[in-house]
Amino acid sequence: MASDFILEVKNLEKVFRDRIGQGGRVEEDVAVKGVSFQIQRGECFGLIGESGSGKSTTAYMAAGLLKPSGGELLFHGTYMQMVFQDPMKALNPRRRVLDNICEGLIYRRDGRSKAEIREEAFKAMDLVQLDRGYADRFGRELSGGECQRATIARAILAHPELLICDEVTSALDVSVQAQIISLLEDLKNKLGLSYLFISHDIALVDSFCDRVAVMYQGKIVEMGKTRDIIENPKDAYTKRLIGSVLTL
Amino acid sequence: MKKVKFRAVFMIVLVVLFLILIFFGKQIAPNDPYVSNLQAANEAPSAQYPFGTDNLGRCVLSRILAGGAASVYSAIFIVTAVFFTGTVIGLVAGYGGGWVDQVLMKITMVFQAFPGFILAVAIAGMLGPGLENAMISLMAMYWTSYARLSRSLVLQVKNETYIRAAIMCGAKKRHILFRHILPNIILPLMTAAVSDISNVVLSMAGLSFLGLGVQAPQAEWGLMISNGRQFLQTAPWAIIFPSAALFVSVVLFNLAGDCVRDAVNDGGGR
Ligand SMILES: Nc1ncnc2c1ncn2[C@@H]1O[C@H](COP(=O)(O)OP(=O)(O)OP(=O)(O)O)[C@@H](O)[C@H]1O
Ligand SMILES: [Mg+2]
Repeated sequence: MASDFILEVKNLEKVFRDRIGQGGRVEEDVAVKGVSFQIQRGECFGLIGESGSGKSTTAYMAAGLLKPSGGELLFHGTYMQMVFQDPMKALNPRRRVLDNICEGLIYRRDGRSKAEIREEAFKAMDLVQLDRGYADRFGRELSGGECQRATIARAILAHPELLICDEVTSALDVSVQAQIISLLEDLKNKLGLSYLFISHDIALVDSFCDRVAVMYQGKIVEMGKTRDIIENPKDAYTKRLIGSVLTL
Repeated sequence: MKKVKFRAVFMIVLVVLFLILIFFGKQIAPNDPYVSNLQAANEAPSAQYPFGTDNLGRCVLSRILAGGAASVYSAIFIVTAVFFTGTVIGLVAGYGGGWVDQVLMKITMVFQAFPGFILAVAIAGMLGPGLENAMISLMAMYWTSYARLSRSLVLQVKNETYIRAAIMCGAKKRHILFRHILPNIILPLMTAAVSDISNVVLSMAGLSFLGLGVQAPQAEWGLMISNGRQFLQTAPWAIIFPSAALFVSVVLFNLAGDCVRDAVNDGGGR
């Protein structure tokens, strides 16, 4: 094993320059400034913070979907996958669910036949407890929770070592949330996945993550074992964040 | 849902019947559309000439049937051609982005700077009269809307989450274009194309009316209306019936376009 870490992020930065402000000047939006963390193999690493704190931007950069403005990303694995914030938009509405799921392997051209990939896709559907009967439906014909199961099936079909989960439950209702979380727990044990788990729900992170980083305005303000952070927050923002949950 | 489907099937049957009628127009025609019988010039509708005759004594019904091909089939050909070229140009511009997009959109803007029909008249005037030249000038007039529509549709979908997911799975550009972008933008483009057939039929008739399209003695609806004008008082049927044919085809293709749109919206989902 080359490294104990599956993902290393060093001083990651993102400046958006696509907003035109007053007088036609290009405005700079600094979404992520100097974020560093490391995720160990088999670890569940949480990233929490309020809306707009730069969590998704960090996730997209880690996934290679967004070019960082600065910093370094080291992925010590072969495949990485991502489950997205809005499940309804993560499946192509005009392709069948099975075709959507098969995408996890179809582009790899590693000698697997179409039939083998389909068979594996069905097994992945079993694993995420999505009834095989949904295979021939179209992406637009699933509910949010079913969509999320299908996207998780697509992700695990690719046999990733790291799964990035960007607020995978925030668009779902509470009972479905719990099902998805227990599914992710299950997959962790069965497949030995590592997670970058993004959320703004402290209770969820508390139950799911080994370590957590707290993001505020594009920076990591505090990082450590989840229990330590929750029981003994040092940073003022973290205290407020945890306090707001406790008073609820 | 069921009603929409029924209407769609009904419209398809109507359109197909109409197209067959026009395709075999020359064979179905009761008289030879090109033989003039000056003794029977400007004759009112009769058993032998159901829609009367024109100033040269040619059967109006036969000329309408024979002339449909030049009007309707050339319109369908034009729309197919601009649908493909416009869609491809829009795809390349929207998906490619950067300077490619800028150049293509500047070219589109140059074409759109002129009011559509004026541009067609100018180009047809430059190229000289004739069916082929009229078709070229109408293509120049109509391709831009498809380029713009397909570009804007591409821009709408190209940052969709499912495309990001496909990229994460290792999809190449061609996969993204053909499996994800095209299937999600093709229906609105097709709807626009079907509705455009009637516009092109009218524009083609307009060019012929102005003497820039099909040339005499060939039968074509616009040309027949133009010729009939001088004899409006004595032989109104020579202008009324070709106009009615034009009207029917325009209405038919407009309704077909609406049908396609409804069917698309119905099955479109989110
Ligand atoms: N394409 C973009 N152009 C300009 N600014 C952007 C862009 N994408 C994100 N931002 C900005 O970057 C900041 C961080 O956004 P991000 O989506 O990462 O937040 P988040 O923590 O995921 O929030 P949420 O919990 O609502 O998902 C926000 O202020 C947002 O406005
Ligand atoms: Mg987010």
